[in-house]
Amino acid sequence: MKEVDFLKAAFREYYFKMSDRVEVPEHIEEREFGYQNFEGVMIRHLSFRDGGDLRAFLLREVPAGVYCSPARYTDPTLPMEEKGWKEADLIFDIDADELECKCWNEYRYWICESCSAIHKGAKLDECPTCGSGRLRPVNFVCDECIKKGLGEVSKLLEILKEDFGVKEGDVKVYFSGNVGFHIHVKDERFKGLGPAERAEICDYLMGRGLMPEVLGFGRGMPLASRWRDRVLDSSSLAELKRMYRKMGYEGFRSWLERVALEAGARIDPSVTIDVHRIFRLPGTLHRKSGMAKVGVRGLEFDPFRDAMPFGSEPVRLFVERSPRLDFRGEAFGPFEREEVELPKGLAVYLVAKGVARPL
Amino acid sequence: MVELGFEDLAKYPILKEVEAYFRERKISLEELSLDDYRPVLERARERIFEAVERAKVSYRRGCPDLEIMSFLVAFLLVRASGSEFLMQKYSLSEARRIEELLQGEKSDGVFSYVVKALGIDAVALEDGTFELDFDRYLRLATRLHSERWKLVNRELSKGSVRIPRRDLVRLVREAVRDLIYERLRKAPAPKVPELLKGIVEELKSISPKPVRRPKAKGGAYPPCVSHALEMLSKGENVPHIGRFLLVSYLYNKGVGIEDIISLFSTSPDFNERITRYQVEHIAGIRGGGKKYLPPSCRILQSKGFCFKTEECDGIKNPLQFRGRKVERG
Ligand code: SF4
Ligand SMILES: [Zn+2]
Ligand SMILES: [Zn+2]
Repeated sequence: MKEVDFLKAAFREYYFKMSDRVEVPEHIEEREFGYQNFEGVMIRHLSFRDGGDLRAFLLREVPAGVYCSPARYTDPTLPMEEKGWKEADLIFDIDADELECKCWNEYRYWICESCSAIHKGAKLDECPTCGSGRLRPVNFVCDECIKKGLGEVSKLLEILKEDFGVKEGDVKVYFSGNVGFHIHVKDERFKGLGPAERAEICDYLMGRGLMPEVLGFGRGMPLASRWRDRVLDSSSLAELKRMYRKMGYEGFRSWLERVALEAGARIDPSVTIDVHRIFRLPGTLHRKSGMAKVGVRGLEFDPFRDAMPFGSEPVRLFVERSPRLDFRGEAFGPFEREEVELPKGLAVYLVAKGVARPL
Repeated sequence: MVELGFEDLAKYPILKEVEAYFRERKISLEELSLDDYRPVLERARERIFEAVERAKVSYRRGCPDLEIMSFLVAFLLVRASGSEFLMQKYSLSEARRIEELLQGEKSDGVFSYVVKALGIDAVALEDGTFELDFDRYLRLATRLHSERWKLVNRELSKGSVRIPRRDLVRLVREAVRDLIYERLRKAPAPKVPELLKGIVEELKSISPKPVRRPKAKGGAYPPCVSHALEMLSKGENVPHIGRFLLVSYLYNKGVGIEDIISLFSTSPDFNERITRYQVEHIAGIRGGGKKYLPPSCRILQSKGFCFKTEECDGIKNPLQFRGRKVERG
């Protein structure tokens, strides 16, 4: 069986049996939807009347990815300039695979699409084995990656709560379905804000633009900010003084931004700022993992346990290469160019990752 | 409840109480040809010229009737001119007048009343500072260019930003400016009586000519640069990142300093000396002699100043923009 057919069959099964897991957004008729099919084509500017309409569509199309706008529009199907933007929820994207991790050595590599050679390390322009330029990145995430991602999530939630006064009930944390976390904030105060204001919020969360005056340095008027405490949590005032003397105003300023970034949340600002974006719909599957975008509770998360909808019936596969993976309490692999029998959840995962093909 | 006197209305003629005052006096442009109203008309014209020449309207203490009436008449004249440039300039200049008066306002009651009337729910704290909701703060402060206005440099706690009184007043200026400008835009164009046609024509003629776009080598402008130019030609206030982009982009494309400075002359808060300084700084003539490149597309995007179209096609810096793809033979 071809990989795509295998995945599509699995996705169809999910949308057939478990479509109640797909979250129907509030005011669905005012949201823009988009989807990607298994040929990789993206289609936007769709809208659905209600949850039934949406579910019927999922069954009919079996999309590889489904996206929905955090924004509400008067008419979501029109071209962007004519849609009539009303408001948008505040969203954040935290990528777990951008936070350096010791697993990178094992969990990231390139597969040559021409000769299927495997190469580790930095991105190559061409395959050292056959010279082809068709190199496909493969990356897995480990427990540590997930933990780091959740660490960033909790920093973000803390600042949203303490500084912005966001209520716990207005925030929802999701596993993105692949390697990151999405945070949806439904708080009236953010909804009407445009890109410039959202950019300011991102800068705040990351400590960008923090001035030495906040810590009492420099010639400008002293400023007050909670960021003072955040910086002082990691560096003592004595150390700051020393650095300031050593580096001067400008140097200290850029050093301070680096310190702040550690204390702040590593979000991807471009996602938050773009108020016209469409964003993966909770409860739908991710083409690159076969897992669902699902809610995370209590900041404790195991992707295979919590986000992989497929079970343990055995599936025969040929695995190109995979690191050791823990699937629901059992260890599998590492595998290298071998035929194996794996539980379906893991099989879907490896096929979606592009390192295995069903037999 | 505060008692507002005529003098207060004259100082802050944006208050809704002023409308009642006018309704009672039934003022309309038609009546202004009468000799009684000459001084009002004179003062209204003066307000507008102060706006154009000094970007700030003065305040005449002790003649509230004249001040209040001339405010409305000036408003109507500016509206009648239909000039975007004048509307921007006038809103800013009246806002700066109010800012100064509020800064020196002796009555706490009047102060709070005016701030509240502008839709700013600021709570006065015991130490003389104020607290306001972060969203309100952001809407007003994001257009102020200095870094000290960045939220990160402010005391934000449980959704409230705490700021000193003088900063609150600076934000009030922005709110007043928006308010007057919006009122101007929404007001229907008044019928201009014969006698006032002269003044209105005169006003139209002082609007600057549309910005002549400097020719940059290599064809079309990227969408972000076009957007900044567009804003300038409408007399809108271009945010800091947009100015920086424009100057560095044009300079790197070989446009001369003088041409670049003259571009900004339509900006509502144009100040030749400061503009020259900033432009020369970016061009590397001043400061450390460092010639700046335009900000990257990523930075522009993160500041909300990217207006990407398909023609941008994966470029990293606006300088790489080539416009419509040329068929390669
Ligand atoms: S992609 Fe770059 S050049 Fe195009 S509009 Fe955005 S910032 Fe400007
Ligand atoms: Zn190869
Ligand atoms: Zn890891």
